[in-house]
Amino acid sequence: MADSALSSEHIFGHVKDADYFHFPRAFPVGDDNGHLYLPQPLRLEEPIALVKIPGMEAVNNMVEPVDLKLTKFMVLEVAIAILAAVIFIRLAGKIANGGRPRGRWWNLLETFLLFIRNEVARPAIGHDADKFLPFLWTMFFFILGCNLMGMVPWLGAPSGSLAVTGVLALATFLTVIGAGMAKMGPIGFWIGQVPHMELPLALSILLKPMIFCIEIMGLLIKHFVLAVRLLANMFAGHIVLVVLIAFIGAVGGAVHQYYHPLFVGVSLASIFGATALSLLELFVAFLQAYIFTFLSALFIGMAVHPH
Amino acid sequence: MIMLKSQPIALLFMGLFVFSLLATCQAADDAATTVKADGTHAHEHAASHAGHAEDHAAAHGHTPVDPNPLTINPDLSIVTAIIFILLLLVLGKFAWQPIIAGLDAREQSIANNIEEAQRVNENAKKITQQYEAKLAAAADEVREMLEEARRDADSTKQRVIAEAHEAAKAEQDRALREIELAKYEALHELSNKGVNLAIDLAGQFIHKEIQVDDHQNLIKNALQNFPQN
Repeated sequence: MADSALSSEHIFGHVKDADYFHFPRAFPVGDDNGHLYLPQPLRLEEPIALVKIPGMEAVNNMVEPVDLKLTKFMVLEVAIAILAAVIFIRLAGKIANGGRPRGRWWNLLETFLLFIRNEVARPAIGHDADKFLPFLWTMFFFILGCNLMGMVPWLGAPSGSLAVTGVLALATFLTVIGAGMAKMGPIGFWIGQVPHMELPLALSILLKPMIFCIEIMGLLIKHFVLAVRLLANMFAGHIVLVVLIAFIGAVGGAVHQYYHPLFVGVSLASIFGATALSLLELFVAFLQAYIFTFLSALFIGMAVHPH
Repeated sequence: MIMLKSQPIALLFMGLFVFSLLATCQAADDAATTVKADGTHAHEHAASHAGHAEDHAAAHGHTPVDPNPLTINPDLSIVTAIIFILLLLVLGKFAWQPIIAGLDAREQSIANNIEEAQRVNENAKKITQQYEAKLAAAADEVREMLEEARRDADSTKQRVIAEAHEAAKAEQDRALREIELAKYEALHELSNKGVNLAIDLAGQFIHKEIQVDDHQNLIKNALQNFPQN
């Protein structure tokens, strides 16, 4: 079963990061399997394992060793960054020259920018909102780019990887802490994590450290969930798409005939199902970029204006 | 109209459909391999495939896929962090700052334009009111002038009529006076002639020579006794 179209090896291989791009075998690129391998100029011969906790194999396996391997998602992220830079630096030139927005692209991009400014940043953060706009705008468009890359055939969604969403959530976490400490003072921010309560001194000494620990854990979990939410949405959506498409391969492998009614029926159902799910995925790509940005703005707002 | 509106959606749907078809090609491709693998050379092929995979693993470090979605590739994390920070810096400097400044400037200019338009509008309203008042005053003035002209014309007419009446009256009076005078002169002459005739007759009757003084006395007496009319 290792070579079946529905094997986990196959399915996850289409969604997870890899050191190759996967094209159809009919394409004149790549090897016999349609794999176009990336050049590896920096790859270490001996990978360095970062986490080695004895007896915690699950954790050890979760963090892959450092081997400086160039992967598909890295290439896609660079492409997204270059695309975003080109688009928005050109847009900035137009906006800075003044005048009203002309043309579909200009209006479309401005709609995004103004939506995040007027409907996300300003209501969530308040009068300091414009200071955090560069962060929120970059976050939104980077995530949107990562999500939309998953809608392009033979590419993939870098946001379907915890390494990427984790770093983005970490960026939000650091921004939240930085903004909070800049506003409330380095110590005031941490003290401010404990809500104000009218308690007798004895109870206060007992309870406040516990509440502090809970609040800090809440702060960490909040941002961890931010990463997992985006990961799960992108990963799961693409897994479902791959499974739907893989049904065709699985049935083909079972009936051995391209004109078999079962093969034709399943193929048609799969194609229509995948088309419908792709529409949903397109929506989810925008929705999750918005949710991540919105929650980042909300967390920043909570750090800057406690209670 | 409906066609036009639904066009982008139809295009999107078609695009996704084509994408699905392409994905199907790949799946069918995979199936073909599987079909072959399940065929007569199954063991041989599987063996060669496995060998192939090992070759790949050796050549490219292609480790088998771990289906755990929660694995973290630290390399990817580091690269992502670097890309994100660079993107934030580059966009912040060359895109977001000019965009924020441009949007603020546009907002300010729109606000200024609205304010200016309101001011100009107020001004225009004020000027319109002024002109309307002026127009009303002018209309009053015109009415006044017309009234005055009519009054002037009336009075001129009255005067001309009065003058004509007066002239006619004067002419009439003069004619009457002349008639009166002529009548008087005629009467006077008649009376003189009558007196002389009477004196001549009387002188003849009394046969007495009367002096000039007596004549005159007699005329005077006769005139005094002569009726005025």
